[in-house]
Amino acid sequence: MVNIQTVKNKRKSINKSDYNNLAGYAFISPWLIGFIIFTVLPMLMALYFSFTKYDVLSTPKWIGLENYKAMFTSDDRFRLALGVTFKYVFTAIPLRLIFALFVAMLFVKNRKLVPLYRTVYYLPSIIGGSVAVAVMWRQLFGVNGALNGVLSSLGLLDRQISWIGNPNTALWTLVLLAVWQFGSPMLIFLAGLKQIPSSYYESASIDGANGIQQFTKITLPMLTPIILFNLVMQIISGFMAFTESYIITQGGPFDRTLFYALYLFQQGFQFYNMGYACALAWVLLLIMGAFTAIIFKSSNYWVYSESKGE
Amino acid sequence: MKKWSALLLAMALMISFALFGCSNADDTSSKDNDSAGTGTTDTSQSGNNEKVTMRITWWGSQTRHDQTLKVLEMFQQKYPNITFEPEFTAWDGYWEKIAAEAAAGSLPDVWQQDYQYISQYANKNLLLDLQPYVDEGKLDLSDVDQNSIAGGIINDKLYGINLGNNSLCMIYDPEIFKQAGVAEPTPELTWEDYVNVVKTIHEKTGLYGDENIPGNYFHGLNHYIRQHGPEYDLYSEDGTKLGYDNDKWFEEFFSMELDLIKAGAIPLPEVRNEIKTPEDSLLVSKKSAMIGAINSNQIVATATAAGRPLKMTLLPKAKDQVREGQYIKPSMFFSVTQYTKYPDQAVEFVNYFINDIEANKVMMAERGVPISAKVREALKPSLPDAQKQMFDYVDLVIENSSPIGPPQPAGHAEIDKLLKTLEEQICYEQITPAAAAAKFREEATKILSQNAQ
Repeated sequence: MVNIQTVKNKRKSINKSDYNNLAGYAFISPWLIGFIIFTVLPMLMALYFSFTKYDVLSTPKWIGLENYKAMFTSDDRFRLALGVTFKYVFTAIPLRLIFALFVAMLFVKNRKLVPLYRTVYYLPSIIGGSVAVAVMWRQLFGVNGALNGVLSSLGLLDRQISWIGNPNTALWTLVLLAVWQFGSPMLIFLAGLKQIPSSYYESASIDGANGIQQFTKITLPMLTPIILFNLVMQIISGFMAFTESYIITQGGPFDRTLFYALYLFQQGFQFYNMGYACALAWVLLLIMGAFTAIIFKSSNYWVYSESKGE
Repeated sequence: MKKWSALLLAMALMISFALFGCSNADDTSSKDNDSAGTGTTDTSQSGNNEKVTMRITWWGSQTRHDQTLKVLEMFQQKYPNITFEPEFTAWDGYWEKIAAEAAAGSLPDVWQQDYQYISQYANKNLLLDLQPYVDEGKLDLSDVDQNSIAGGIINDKLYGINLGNNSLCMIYDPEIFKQAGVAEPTPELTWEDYVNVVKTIHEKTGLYGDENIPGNYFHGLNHYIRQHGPEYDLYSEDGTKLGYDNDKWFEEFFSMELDLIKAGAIPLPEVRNEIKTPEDSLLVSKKSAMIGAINSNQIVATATAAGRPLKMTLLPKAKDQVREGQYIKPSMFFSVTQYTKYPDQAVEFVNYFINDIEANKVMMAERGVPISAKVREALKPSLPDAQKQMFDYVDLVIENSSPIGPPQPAGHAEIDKLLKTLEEQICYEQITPAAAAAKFREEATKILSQNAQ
């Protein structure tokens, strides 16, 4: 109590808090400088380019809102890419979170070898966004891939099919890849699960609550802040997914796996419409911001926080 | 006191970071000064022995990387003052990298160029006009015929030196033709013959008759269109609109593909899209009798991968054709960047690359048939079989060709994507060839006019 009081006193004295702030900023300055140079400046430059016609090879030409107008009025592939990305985010992310929670529940008990399993199951996420995994996925689900090898040896394959190239299955192989990379939300869930006091479960089981009741009445509500965090982080990363479709499917077949980030890349670096690509990037930022805001707003209704009970 | 010490510590950290940063910056800036210094002396005639470091970039296979590195080494032995920093990748990603470097103003001094992109870069004044060097005699094209130079000329300026002549071809396995009891294709093969051959092979052997339609979705369509009008080409001369006025040709060409797909005689795009290297080829793995769409210099890599005799032939002719669709194409160029510090040395190297006989013996026409007659003569006695086939094939094409169309305009990459998407939709029967033809005209016209502005 005494400590808190002194801190509060210090806050009131402007000079002293200034010193504190200055020291703090000085400490984080290496990060801050990097953030400004490599994140803030490029974002502002992209904002400027989004109002220009910029073909990378010559100087940008100011065209006002033309890029945004074209995007919303006459660009079929923009709408297509949005559709594909929403489909991906709204299937892959919930599935990944459910799977991550499931695995975390398995690992929360301190059995033998659990630390080893945790490491092993986390591995796919470390190498997750990488090119190597994408290449491996191509090997697994291609025409001559491992899956077809198994299927044809069981006599289940009557014609050559490429799971990553077929219009009906291509997107789902990418969703599967996303679900498989459940490691980082799993770790966070694990930490959250360990925070829940075991006394809650003990008293619940004394009162005769079964496993499912304990899960729905204790685990889930106690975990909602963690779910909120994971949901926001994963949705943002879902919207930015790029490597998978760039390496595995190149957006094909006929744009069935055209992720928004891939479309942006195509416009900027393959079609040399960098101004348009920058506009696409800003629209993506707004979309992600909107989703994050909605989730945060809605969290009042479903996220349990202990302070509210006081 | 505590906060003061914290502030001090933070400042100390900052200063050390700043110092670290500065010392690095000093290093690079002094290096820059050095090179700038040598650059100025080099451009004057006296400083030819100054040390020069140039960047060179190309795309290609491992074979090409190995050979080109060897040639660079040979060149450096001859010109010890010139050092190269080579950067090489596969075709995938090459143009993204070049675009980023162009935007940053750091294009390599010498870089491999393609017919699809040369006009785009030339029109933005990023490439050095090499004609003055030819006139001065620094770049020796005296053994090169005009046709082999023409591809690199844009707006009367020479922006790229052709590294080898190429033409589209079909590669086939004579053994599979024999098994199917089908006669091997002649140069007079028509589209109707082609469809029959492919279907018959499929029926008789169960294999695919062809891996892809002749010329692929883009060059095949272009080939077909060229055959049907003396002025036809996929793009107009100035590159601001489509170069053909009748969607019938588009419709006919892709109806033919759909017909073959439905018959099972050629594979679906999902199978064909996974072919990335010669080793993946269905012809190499004996699942297909032909590769319909491949450049003639690829016979070398394909024959090596297959390890059995393969033959090459012309793309089909149209029964009612008004001119030959086939043409000789520069396989690739070397371009020199407009703002290079060492234009003389860069030209020196390009000159060496196309004229030096020892260097070309190392490369063995891997980039296509060399443009210098002297080099061709020198290589002929020692040519391996596949290369010999390629030389003969290019000779055959010369007799059965019409001049190449204009280089692809800005916006081509986007149109290529559009056409590929439409082709795949046709193959999976998501759109009819007629509807696709109309959609292609509408969208492509839009893209071209946007890029022309």
